[in-house]
Formats: sequence, C-alpha cells, structure tokens
Amino acid sequence: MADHRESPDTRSSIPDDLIPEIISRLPARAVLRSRAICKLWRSIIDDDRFPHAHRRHQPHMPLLRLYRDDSLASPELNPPYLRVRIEGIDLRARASQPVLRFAVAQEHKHAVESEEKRPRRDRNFRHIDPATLWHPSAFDVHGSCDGVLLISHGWSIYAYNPATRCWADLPENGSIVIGFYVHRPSGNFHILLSHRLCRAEHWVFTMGHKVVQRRIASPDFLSDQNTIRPACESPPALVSGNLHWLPQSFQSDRQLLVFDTVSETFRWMSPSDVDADGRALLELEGMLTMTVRGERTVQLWVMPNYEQPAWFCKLQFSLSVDHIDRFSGVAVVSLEGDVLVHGERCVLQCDSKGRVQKHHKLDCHRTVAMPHLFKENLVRHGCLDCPQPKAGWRGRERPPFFRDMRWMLLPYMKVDGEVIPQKM
Amino acid sequence: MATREAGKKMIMLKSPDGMEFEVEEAVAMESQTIRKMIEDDCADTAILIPNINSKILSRVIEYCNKHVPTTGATGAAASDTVAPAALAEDLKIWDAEFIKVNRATRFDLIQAASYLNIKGLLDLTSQTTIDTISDNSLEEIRSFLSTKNDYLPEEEQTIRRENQWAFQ
Repeated sequence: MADHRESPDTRSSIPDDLIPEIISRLPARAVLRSRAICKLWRSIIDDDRFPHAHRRHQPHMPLLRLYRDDSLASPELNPPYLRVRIEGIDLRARASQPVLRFAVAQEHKHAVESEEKRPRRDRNFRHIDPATLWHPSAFDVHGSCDGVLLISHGWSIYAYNPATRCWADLPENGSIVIGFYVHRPSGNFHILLSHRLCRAEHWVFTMGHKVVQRRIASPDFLSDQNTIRPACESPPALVSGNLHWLPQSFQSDRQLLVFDTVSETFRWMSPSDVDADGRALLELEGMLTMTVRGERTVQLWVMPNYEQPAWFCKLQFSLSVDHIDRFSGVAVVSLEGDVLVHGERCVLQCDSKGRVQKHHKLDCHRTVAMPHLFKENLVRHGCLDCPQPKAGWRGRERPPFFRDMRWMLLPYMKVDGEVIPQKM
Repeated sequence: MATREAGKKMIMLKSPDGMEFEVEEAVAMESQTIRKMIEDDCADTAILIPNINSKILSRVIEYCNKHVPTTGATGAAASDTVAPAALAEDLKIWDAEFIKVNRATRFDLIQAASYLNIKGLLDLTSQTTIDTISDNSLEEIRSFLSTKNDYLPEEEQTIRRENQWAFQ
C-alpha cells in the first residue's frame, strides 16, 4: 500500500481533469467570462463538444417577466425608462438568474417632444400606445425550445438564444403565434401561427436565413370564433414530438388537441380523465403534466406513459401561504413538487409539503409569470444569425434585447473591476 | 470480503493508505462506478479505491450512508412512515452541514465524487465553486482556483471583447 501514499492529502487548486465538470455546470454568462481565466479554460470551452456537455448539466428554469419603472423611483429622470427583465428561477439553488434584459423609453411621460426631436432609436415605439408599455402584449414570450426564446416586441417577432446571443427575426405579419418547436427532420425552428383575421387559418413559418411559409390544414371544429389560445397565454406542451393543448373552451368533449411536429398535422387525443380543470399543460422530464388548483390545494397530474394516455394524480398537498387570495397564479414546476406561487411583485417557491421555501424578492414594480420552462443552450443553431445585428440591418431598429439597460442610465459603470465610459 | 450481516450484503472498500471500510452493498452502489463493478462481478473481494485517501473516502461513505434510502437504491428499505418531501428537506440541511469543509477538502471531494460517479455529491461539492466563479471578478476567480493568468494583456482584452456582454 505504501506506493499509493503519495496521493495528496491537501490540494490548493482544482485538478485539471475536473475543470470540464465544473465549467459545464456554470451559467452561460459565467462560461463565456471564464474563457478569459487562462488558456486551459478557454481551450475546454472552445471545444466543439463542450456546448453539448454544458446543456446536459443546465437546469430547467421557470421564467418570470419583470417590469421596473425608473420614473417611480426617480421622477427627475429624463426620459424615464421602463426596464424589462426576464429571469429564470433555478429551483435547486432557489435563486433567480437573468436571462434577458433591456430598457425602453417611456415617451408618454414627455409627450411634448415632437417626432423629429425624439432620438432615432426610440421611434420604433411610436406605434405603441403608452399605456400598453405596461401591458404584456408590448413585449411577450411565445415559446421556449432548445434554449431559444420566441419573443415579440411591438409587431416584430424574434427567435433569440440568450446564451449565444444569436437570433433571427420574422418579417412583420399580423399573425398570432400558437406554437414554437424544432422541426426534427430539418433541424429548423418552426412557428405555428393562426391568422389574426381568419383565426381558423393556420400557417407554419420556418425561421432562418430565408423565411418559408406554408399553409396547413386546420383541425376540425375550429372556426374564426372557436380558436386555439395564443401561445403567450397558454403555450402547448411539447412531449414526444407533439404539441398538446388542453381542451379549448368551446369543446363539448374533453379531447386534447395534438399537433405532430414532424408531419405538421393536427389530430385529437382521447379525452383526459382528469376530473377538474387544469389551467395549462407543462412538459416535465419528458412527461405531460398539469397543475390543478383548488382553493388551497394543489394537484400535479401526470401522464407517465405517452403510448397509453392515462392520467394519474402524482402529488396533492395544501399550500401554507398566508393571504393566498392575493396571489394570482400557482404552478407545479417540477416532478418533485416545487411550486411557484405568483403575486404582483413577488414569487414564492414552495415544496411539495406546501411550505414556503424561498421568497424570491424581485426588484420590480410588476411580475408576470410565464408558462414556459427555459434551459440555457450554448450550442449554435445554424438557422440563427451571429450575435450582433449588422450595420443598417434591414433599415430597422436594433432588436430590443441588444439595447442593454446599463447604457441607458449609468454614465459610468464598474464592470469586472474596470470603469468603462458610457458608449451610447 | 463480502459478508452477510442481518441479511444485508456487505462490501469492503479499501483506500490506498491501507484503511478498510465495510459498507452495505446498497450504500456502496450509490457510486455508479462501484455499482458497475458489482454488477460485472468484479467485486468478490475488497474493492480498492485508488487516489482517494481514507479521510476523504470515509466522508464519501458518510454521504452515501445518509443518501441511500431516498434515492431508492436496491436493497435499502426506505422508511415508509417518512414522507419523501420531509426527508428531502432534512437532507438539504444535512448536506449544508456536510459541505462546511475547507477548500482543499472540497476539491478532494469533487475529485472523489467524479471518480466514483456519485451525481448528488458532485452537484453538492461543485456548487460553491460554481457560485464563486459566477459571482466574482476574474482576478478573484484565479486566486480562488490558484490558477495563473497565462494571457498577455492584449490577448485577454481580445477575449473579453469577443463576449463583451458577459462582462457587463
């Protein structure tokens, strides 16, 4: 045994062979920063296999949309900015982390300014009724798939990967997004839309360097009155290559509407035998699930075997939350029973005993829970463009997510030990 | 030697510095590496765990002992009276105490968890390092990891510019 004795008793640095294990558990932003630590770290991160290993270690995070109105805190600011943030909640670490953030000028507070005097970069918002800046429709998330978010801002729609900052946009069209998925045979991101005026008309758009659109057959029963709800309110759950919607309000039976993302056709699935109204379907660890909420009780229903569609109640518990009526939303977001309870300005994370485990205090004036799960992905998708918008990009404004809010308000900011001057 | 005690199969683990640890098979099988050895019938006699000294190995066994019932390892009878959620909460508290060790021990534990392939222990032990790297400046990270900056100043500037947003 003596020959093994040199194994070190103490160690001051991390062994080289463990560095990939550590880096692949870091959030994307920290990974990209870590390239500057030393050459060894950069060579690990720049290896083609690394993004895939990183993706396997990242948590699924429920998303929140937060609004903060600077003019409420500092009325003298001119112009006042509304800061918009999307944060993901890491359930295991019980912490939130930024996914996307930007700021927009709130022009209604300075209505005297003429169109010409207004800074050019703000003109994009002239179509938006000031009151609606607070309204979710001015900025919304319509889907989350493979680390890519489908975002609308004003009339524009973007597919955006916050980890790589790669993106693509969809030409303006007055359609309503009802689904977002990767079309596995081609590897492209596809968007399922219904026409704003003829809601029973359905289209598939292929995102990428060249946008391709194709009309597809609509499901039976749908008409301009009987429509599928927009994905920003009630996104379909993607399980086994199919999108699923809960029974729509006009349906007399309880069949689930299903969209096959490979053949791109609609069909109906046998009725759900859940004897209560679920609000939304959610994919958790490859299973179709839904939260059913009673006055104080919460149930998580799951469909464990997709081939034999039958639901069973996996968890049921009461929430020990004071003033539960003040909270607008309740959603079970993991199979272990992590629950998020949403209020106007805060989010409670409860365990499967219904006890509050974490009060996520969010520095904002309004919180909107989003029915999407997000997982960071550093893999570059071929159909999304490179990080920075090209100069003179289609003659339009920069997409909102490139208008980092740090440039908006702070003349100087300390960044990683350095003071850098304002650039915009 | 594999022995039997109260109906439970025991496994002998040996550290390179000559210490021997007798543990239940179910506990040892928390390690996917040992599980594979047992399943491949390579574990008739004592299993030598290279590169992990007795101090670290005893801590790893302590962790596996604590975690064996909830992860549903074969042969370990979980207490039916304790709800899994309550157990999970207790474990979280226990884990927080377990990981209050110095940096050198933590790095040793990360290496042991990686070699023995114990996912929960690897997640637990690497979390502090991950938090440190996520929240601190490059200089602080380098000093925490005892890593030398081998870039020329202009090289480092170039790399920073490539992902400038990540530094904001």
